[in-house]
This record gives sequence, C-alpha cells and structure tokens, in this order.
Amino acid sequence: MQLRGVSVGYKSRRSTSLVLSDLNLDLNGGEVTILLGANGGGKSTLLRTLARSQPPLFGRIEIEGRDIARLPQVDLAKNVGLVLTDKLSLGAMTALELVELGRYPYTNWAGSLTKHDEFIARQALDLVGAAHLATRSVDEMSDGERQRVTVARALAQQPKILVLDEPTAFLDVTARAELLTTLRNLARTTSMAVVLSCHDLDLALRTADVIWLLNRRGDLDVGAPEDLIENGTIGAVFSSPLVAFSAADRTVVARNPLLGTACVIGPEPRIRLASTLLQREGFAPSFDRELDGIQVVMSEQGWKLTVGDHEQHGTSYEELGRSIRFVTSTTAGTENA
Amino acid sequence: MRNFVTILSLSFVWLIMLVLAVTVGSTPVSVSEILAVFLGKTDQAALAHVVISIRMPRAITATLAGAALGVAGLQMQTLLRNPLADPYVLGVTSGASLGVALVVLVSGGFTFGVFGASTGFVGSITVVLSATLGALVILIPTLIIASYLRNAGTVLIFGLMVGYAVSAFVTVLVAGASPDQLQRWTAWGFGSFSAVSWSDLPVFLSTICCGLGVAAISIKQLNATLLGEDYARSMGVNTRLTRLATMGSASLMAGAVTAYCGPIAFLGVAVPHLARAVTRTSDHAILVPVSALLGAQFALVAQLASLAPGQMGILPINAVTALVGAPIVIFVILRSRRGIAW
Repeated sequence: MQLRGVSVGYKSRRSTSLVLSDLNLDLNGGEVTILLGANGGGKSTLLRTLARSQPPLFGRIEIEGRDIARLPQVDLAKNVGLVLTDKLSLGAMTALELVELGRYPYTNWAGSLTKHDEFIARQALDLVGAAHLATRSVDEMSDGERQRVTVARALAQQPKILVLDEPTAFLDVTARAELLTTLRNLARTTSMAVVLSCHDLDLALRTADVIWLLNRRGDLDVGAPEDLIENGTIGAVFSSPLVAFSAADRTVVARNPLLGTACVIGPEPRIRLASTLLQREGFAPSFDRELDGIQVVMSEQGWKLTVGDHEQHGTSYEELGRSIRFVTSTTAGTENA
Repeated sequence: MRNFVTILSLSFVWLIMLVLAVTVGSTPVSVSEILAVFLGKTDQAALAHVVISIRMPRAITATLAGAALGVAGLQMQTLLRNPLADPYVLGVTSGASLGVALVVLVSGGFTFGVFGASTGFVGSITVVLSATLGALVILIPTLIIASYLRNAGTVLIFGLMVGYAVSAFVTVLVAGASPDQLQRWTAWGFGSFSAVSWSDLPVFLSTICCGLGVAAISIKQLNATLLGEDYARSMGVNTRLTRLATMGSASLMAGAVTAYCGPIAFLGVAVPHLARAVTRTSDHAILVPVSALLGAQFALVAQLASLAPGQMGILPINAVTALVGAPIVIFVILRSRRGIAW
C-alpha cells in the first residue's frame, strides 16, 4: 500500500479540519508498522483512512497500483482487514462463527460456506493460536482471547493489509506481548502488511519493523525503532518535564532530582537490580569503587550499604530502599539546618 | 441440524394454533365441522359464515401480523444493535396514529355515519388509508435522513425524537376531542386482528411478504451487521443500502400491521429475544424464520386469550400481548445465565 500526498482529517459543510497533511508513506508486505503518538494526534483518523472508513481529504491511497477510492466494497474487503477497539456483544456467537463471518466477501448471496471457506476460517483461528477456542462463545472469553479471535476474523478475509486500531487497549501485559508477537509472526509467514496503533512504547519499539511516529509538529517521522531512537525523535515526542525517554530502557522513566552518585559493586543480575533501585531513589549508579559517599556492595547473601563510616547490612531490596531513603532524608535534614 | 428440528417443530405448533384459532370462540366449532365447511358438505350457513368470513381471516391476519412484527423487531434490534429496539423506532406507528387521529378526532363525523359504533371501525378502509398515509408521510423523509446519519445510535435517537414530536400533535388532537371520538380513538389503540376481511387480505399479505422477502435475502448482511456498521463495511457490506433495505422493510411491515390491526405493542420487542433464547444462536438464517414462527404463534395465543371473557366481550389485543408476553420474556431472561440473551 502506498500513500501519495495524502491528507487526513474531517470535512463538514462549513469547515475542514486537517489532522495530518501531505503524507507519503509505504506499507510493505511481511512488515509490522506501528503508529505511535499522543492521544488526539490523529492515529485513529489515519488508520480509518487507510481502511477507507473515511475518505482522505487529498491525495491517493493505492494498493498494488489501484486507487482504493475506486475499489468496490467487496474488493476492498479482500485487500484490507480491520480490527477496531469496539467491544463486541454477540450473544451466543461462537469464535468459529465469528471468524466465518470474515469470509463475507467470498461467499454467495446467502452467505453459505464452502469447504474452502471453512478451511480458511479454521486456519485463521490456528494462526492466532485460538484453535482451541473454536466452539467457545465469544461473549464468555477473556479480553485477550476475544482480541485474538477478532484478529482471526480479519485474517479470514485474507487481506493484503491488516489495520488494527489499538488492539492492545484492554489487554493485560502478557496478552499484549502475546498479541504483538502473534501479529509479527503473521506478517512474516503470510507476507501480509500489518499496521497498528499502540500506546505501549517499550513493546512497540521491540516489535515494530517500522515506526510511524506522530511528532509534535503534526507530522510523521518514519523509520526503524533504532533510527528514531538514534536521531532523538522518539525522545522529543515522549519526554516531558516529569519524564524522559531512556534509550536503554526503551521507555520513558521519571526525571528524579539527582541527589548524587552511588557506587554499586557485586555480581549480575543483582548489581543491575540494585542500580534501578538507586536510580529510583535519585542516585546515578556508578561502578567506580574509588567514589566517596554512598556505596552499595551486593553479594549472594544480601547487601551492604556504606555511607561515610556508617555501615548497614540487609537481605531484601525493600530494606535496602528504606535504608537509602533514611540516609537521604537525614542528609537533607542536616543540609537544611 | 438441531435448529432445523426447532424450525420444523415450531411450524407444527403454529399449525395446531391455527386450527385452535378457528375452532375456539363463542360458538365452538369442531375440526370435522371445519373440514365439512371446506369440502362444501355442510348445510349450516351460519357455521360456514363464522369459519370462512370471521375466524379464517382473523387467524391468517394474526399469523401475518405476528410474523411481520417478530421479523421487523429482529431486523431493527440487529441494525441498531439495541436489545430494546422495536419495529416502531423510526416513528412509523406515530405517523400512522397521526393519520388515524386526524380522521377520527378531527373529521370524526364523516366516518361515524358510515361505520356506526366502534365495532368494525378498526381496519375500515378510511382508517387503513389514513394510517398508511400518515405512516408514509413520516417514514419517507425519516428513512432518507436516517440513511445519511453517521451511525446506528444516531438513527435510534433520531427515530425516537420523530416519534415524540409526532405524538405531540396527536396529544393536541386528543385534548380537543369529544368523548365519543375519544372512545373510538382508544378502541383503535387497543389493536385487533378481527378487522381484516378476505378482500383486504391480498394487499396485507403481499405487503408483509415483500417485507419478509427483503429480510430473507439480507440475512448475510444482517449477520455481518451484528459486529456494527464499521466492521460490516470492512467486510464488504454496502452498509447504506443494508440500512435502507432493513429499515424500509421493517417499517413497511410495521406500517402495514398498524394500518390493518392498530398499534400492536410488545410483540416486536419480545419475539426476537424469545427466538434467541430458543435457538441459542445469533445466525439470522435461523433467527429470521424462528422469529416469524414465534411471532405468529404469539399473535395467535394473544388472539385466543383475548376471547377468554367468553360472552362478556373480548379483551384488547394489546392488553393480552403484554400480559401474556411480559411474564414469558421475564422468565426467559431470568433463566438464561447471562441475563438478556443478546
């Protein structure tokens, strides 16, 4: 799919509100493209325009050289599959029946399914790892299961492009990661182009082949996650006075007032965990033993905290955190005095 | 397969009810007597008159009206994705009421001389014509506007508002009516399956069949619309055409029933829920015929129950549909584990 000079937005009789203008984008088969950006920036509007749920204000959207504005509804359905955030309420419909509805553009006027249609529907359920849900009622499923089945319904249309508007919105952490992994595998195995919007920055940056980043100028930055991290555009979009994007963590972290540097010594992975704890308490972790001030030594048994000539031992990170907070509060107290 | 058996057994139950509707009444008629009437072997002219001219058309009318309202209710509930939607949500009955109110409450003197007392008034040609005209005057602009509205929820609210606005006119007319006019207006509001004669049936039958036919050929679209119009469009449904055809056929059926039988309440909302509860499916290939059959049975039961007072007179159909229907629906809903079977 190619977008050439496309502007998206809403047009009413009196006014035109342009959300994004002059987009030149490509969606490639086999790749996962993730649309990132703040709420209200036009992510849904762009995705709806890709699926022709609303027309572009200007420009052309083409699939294999054909303008989608001219495709009959049924042909469009064979090219573009859509997954929305709407919670479906379907009564007694089973997962397989829902997925079979996806065969709509291929069946006759009565909607009767051929052996081939049934095979494709089963295969779609299989592809999202939901074969065991086939006879379950959709209304009785967990959010994660329902979302998989909804994706399978779109797959049954055998589209070349799969458009998903915030498919992870209602899912828990595990289900989110599972869904995005499934989508990436689907893109690879079926060479379908997958495009979705998502709020989970860390997951998006780990999963996407291409990121479409809505920046604050109302424009799109395009590139691999690594490109956008390196050139700082991700940081610019997601940082605020309170939080900053951390390339190492691939997500935003709180900007704590820096109280100082603390030395951390010990084996992996304990040293890493102790470092994150120190960061949370406002200390930049350092591995330099010669440093004065706070020193944390991690061992297999527990931890040792040294501040000046005062020394403390403990086992859990909870205790360590509490001890550090005690130290910072007393030093802050003396400084104020 | 299970659903095929359901449809078959429901058809059988409907046949039994049809026979009951002809046999039961102030003068009971036995099945053998009915057969004798059909074969022309009876010498009782009065009996033949009761069976042929009164009970047969009444049973057929109840069947058609019930089937029409059941299917129209199903269509509207699916299209609007609202379990409380009924065939009247687009204001077609309000329009019909306005038409009838204008005739009965304003120019009442004109019909009085022709039709005499309230009996035989419902379904008289004047009333049918005024109801049809009233329904069409409201329906056509409503349909055109509704087909351009952005989503189904807006259609529902739009239809309700049109209904309220039209009802306001009726209220004004009622306020200025004489007691005699009011009595006949109220009688029309009770609903009745008795006023359709053999000569009316061809028009009534063909209108209802048109509506049912549209419902039958749009089964595939209705199934897709269960997911909402956005999804339906993404699957290749022409949603505007589907909306127009569904609203058009449902309103046509509702309008025809209102014109010939008065505003039959409750059936349109209740029957689709019963159909879903009985079949436990969302597939319209099953729900459309089952709603038609259950609707017909419901109407026949209401018709039979309305005769309960015997020599004392008959109960209004609308009182019976709600009295018989509400407990059934409440029972079905309470029994199903997840509340409303939607």
